[in-house]
Amino acid sequence: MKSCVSSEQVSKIYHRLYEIGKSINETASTEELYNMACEFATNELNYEKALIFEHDDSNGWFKIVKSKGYNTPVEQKILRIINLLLSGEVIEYLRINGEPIIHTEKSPKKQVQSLVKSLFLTEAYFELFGGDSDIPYGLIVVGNGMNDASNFSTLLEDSILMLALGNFTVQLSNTINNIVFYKAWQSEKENLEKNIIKRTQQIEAQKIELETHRNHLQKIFHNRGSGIIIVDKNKVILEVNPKVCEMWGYLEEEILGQHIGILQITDQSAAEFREITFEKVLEQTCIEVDCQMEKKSGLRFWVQFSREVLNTQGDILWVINDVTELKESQEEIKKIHRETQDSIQYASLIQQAIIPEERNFVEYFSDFLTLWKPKDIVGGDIYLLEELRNKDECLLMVIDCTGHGVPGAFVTMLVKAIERQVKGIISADSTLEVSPAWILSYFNVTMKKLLKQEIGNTVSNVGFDGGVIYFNKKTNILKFAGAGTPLFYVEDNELKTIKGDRHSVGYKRSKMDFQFREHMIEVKDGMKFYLTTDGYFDQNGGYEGLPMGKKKFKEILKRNCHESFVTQKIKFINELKNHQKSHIRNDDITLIAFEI
Amino acid sequence: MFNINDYKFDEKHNYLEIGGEAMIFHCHHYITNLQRTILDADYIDSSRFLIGSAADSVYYQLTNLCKGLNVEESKKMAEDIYKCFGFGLIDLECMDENGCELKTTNSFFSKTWEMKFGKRSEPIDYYTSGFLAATYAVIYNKELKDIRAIQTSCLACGDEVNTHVIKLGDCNYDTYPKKTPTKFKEVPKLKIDWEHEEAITNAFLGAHATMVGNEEGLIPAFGVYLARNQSDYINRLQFEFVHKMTEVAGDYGVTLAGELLLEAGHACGFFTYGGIMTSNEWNSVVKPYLETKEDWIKALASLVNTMGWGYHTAVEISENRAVFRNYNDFEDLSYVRMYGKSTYPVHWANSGGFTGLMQLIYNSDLVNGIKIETEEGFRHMRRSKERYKTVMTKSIACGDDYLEVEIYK
Repeated sequence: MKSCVSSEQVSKIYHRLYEIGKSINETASTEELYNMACEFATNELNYEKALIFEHDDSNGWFKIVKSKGYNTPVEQKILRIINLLLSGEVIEYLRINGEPIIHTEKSPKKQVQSLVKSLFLTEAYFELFGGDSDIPYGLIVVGNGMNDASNFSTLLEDSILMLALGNFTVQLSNTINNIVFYKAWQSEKENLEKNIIKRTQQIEAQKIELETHRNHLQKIFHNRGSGIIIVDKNKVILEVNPKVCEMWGYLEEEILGQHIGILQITDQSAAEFREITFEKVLEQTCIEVDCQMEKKSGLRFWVQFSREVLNTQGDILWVINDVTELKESQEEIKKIHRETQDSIQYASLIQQAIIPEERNFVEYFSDFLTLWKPKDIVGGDIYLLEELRNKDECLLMVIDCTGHGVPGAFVTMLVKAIERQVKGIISADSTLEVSPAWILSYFNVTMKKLLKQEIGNTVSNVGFDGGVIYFNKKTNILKFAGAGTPLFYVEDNELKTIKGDRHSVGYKRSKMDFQFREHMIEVKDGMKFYLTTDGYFDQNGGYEGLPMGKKKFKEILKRNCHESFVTQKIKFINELKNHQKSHIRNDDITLIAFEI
Repeated sequence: MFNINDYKFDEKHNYLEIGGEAMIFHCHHYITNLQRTILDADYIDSSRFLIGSAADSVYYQLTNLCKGLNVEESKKMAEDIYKCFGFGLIDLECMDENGCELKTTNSFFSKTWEMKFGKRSEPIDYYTSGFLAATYAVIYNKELKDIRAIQTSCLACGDEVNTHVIKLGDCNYDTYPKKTPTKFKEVPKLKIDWEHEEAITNAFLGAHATMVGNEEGLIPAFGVYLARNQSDYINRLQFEFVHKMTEVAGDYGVTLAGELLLEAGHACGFFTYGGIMTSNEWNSVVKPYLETKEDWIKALASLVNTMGWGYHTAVEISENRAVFRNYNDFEDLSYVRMYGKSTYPVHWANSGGFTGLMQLIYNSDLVNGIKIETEEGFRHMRRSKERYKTVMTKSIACGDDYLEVEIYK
């Protein structure tokens, strides 16, 4: 290849190249650079057209971003349309070969033939610039079109021009890389500066927040109603709040830096305290312990220690509350409870005293059982057996007073008192026909009057359900009246029931003039009678936690009635236990049975 | 109403036809890539053929499927095939003699576009606009050219629903001349040179019938969303794109359009074949037969021959060079049916797919179970100088007996 340009032109070209090289640096914009490139190609090197394609990594396309020599609307339109793919034939060829493609009419290149035509060129120079061979930054295309060729430099005809073009492309490549890297570096620097500012602001904000928290904690530390002590792993006191000083009577300077042992412990040795507190520090996250302490003055007081591990250095925070008053109250309560328990135990003795002795049953019956089990120490169930006017007559009562425990026991006392009156009335008249029904009525009226329950606005509302039996062993007459309580008896192996009246005794709702029904039975030897309060068959138990029920009670009775009452008592107890299982007792239980 | 099992797979031609239209699966990677390629060329009015192509294919299909059905039955048929083919869900109750304003929250196109490219500023579900235009035309006996089909809201734009307005009016899409019937090339086939071809093909024959729309009207399979497209619909998008690019860019338009379409096909092959070859079905049924990397390629060909894309085979396979054939491939048959003869090969999807396959087998660690699942991974792989080049050497549309493509490093 020869050169057709004059030495003057060559000088001008390379001078221009030099100027371009000096004027552009990494701070230039790509827009400026592309302008220079197109200007150089067309003005200095005198080619007709120049194009710069730039790679868009998001879709892999090379799009035209700068052009020179495309003046008509048709030519302008094509610039938007023509794109090259990174993976397309043209770019692929250039990437792999690393050499420009020079297409001329005399030396056509198949890869770019149609592209050249679409770009309104007849000859064209293609070279990649910038980036690397994997992802080039762009493509420069310089060439001549359909216009009068004599006006323009011809590709491949002048070696100097080709060399200049090649040199320029190298310069373009290096500069674009510098620009890109500089931009990246600038961006990194800006980001770094921005991040420094942001991070500084964050730290400042955190400092303020910490300070605020510190102030809050300080207020809590100093103003709290609880004492706070911080000790290190060697149990040396690091900090105390004013409350601690107030509690023990020491000044702060007397305590700080001292071993915790300065807070004298009485009653519990230091070793015990250590064992409870410090040794258990590692086992639990939070422990509480009550200790008796001694003030500086010698006065003893109780404190409750709560402890928290503060940090990994082993510092511990103790929160201390003066619980002296609480302790004293607890002692007082214990004392009162003891006294109350003692009272109740004594009351139990009293109640047991009014329960008839078993030998009394022997006077009238061939066999018997008594099962009396209050729910608490004392109860609302009671049974009474009294001789009346002579040794042949007796009065048996099984009574279930309102409630259980102490209130129930009070009512039983009242019942006993009225029973004495009844006995007195009967004993005073030897001709009097003893009537269990009349007895229940008497109880009803008397209790209502005594407790002022005949009027509706009293606070109390107590009474009882129960059964009364009059038995004369000489005449073999048994009379029964029941208030909500049935009488079961076995005659000739048959279980029979006499239902009590559905009317309780003594309550506000009980009618003053209620007439209880009386039942008379001519008894004979071997007949067995059972009188029970509802505590037995109302007991919850079983798999579903339901009451046993009268039906099951009767089944137990029927199953065992032929046995001796000693055996029957055991059976009744065991059946109850089996049914009750782990359920708590509902009520007092009383079951009295006897054989004629 | 519509049952995919009523339509028998043509084993001789590896072809499935429903209502007169050849049906082929494409993955969402391919369809979204193809749409984006077309839409990025914003200097051509692509909406006309994006809608028109769908309207044309669906019109012929529904005309056949709805023969003898009343209005309600025809609506049900249209709803069923839309769902079955994996395009989403539509309720045609609102359609009447005057058209419809149909709303839906289940759209294959909107969903997959947003998955791949994020939100966009304009609606994207051109297919459904075309589908509804065709449905309206068939059910209410209208001419396609008299219907206007617009999508006014789109999930991919951040809207709550897709809204399609179909009514009589100034037609906003292209309509096309009538197609000729599909003509197969009855030539002897070069079989896949592999002893287990029949076993694999038989194992998957009929499997396509299990790939139908779920309760959302979508077909998730092999790690992609599939859509069972009318072959002519999807292919016409390519052909019209090339035509339009040629109109605006001259001779280079064919090259540029072709390169773009190959790229879309490459993406499809890469992601879909990658998904197939790492699926549980592949691991359990096919992998036991595989010994070499070439076996992987042959096995895949044996499997995809049951999908209705034609009969795939290989003349030569090695790491550096492969020559593939497809007898009665869906692209060429489609072109011939719609446009007649071509001066250049038209099987970009096939060829791109084969290229993607080679890339997967020889340039990635797929055979060891590691697949590239991200766009970034795909782009990184495409930048590599180790990538394969594609030369489409034979095409039925150009008068050849089969499709042939050479792929080499």
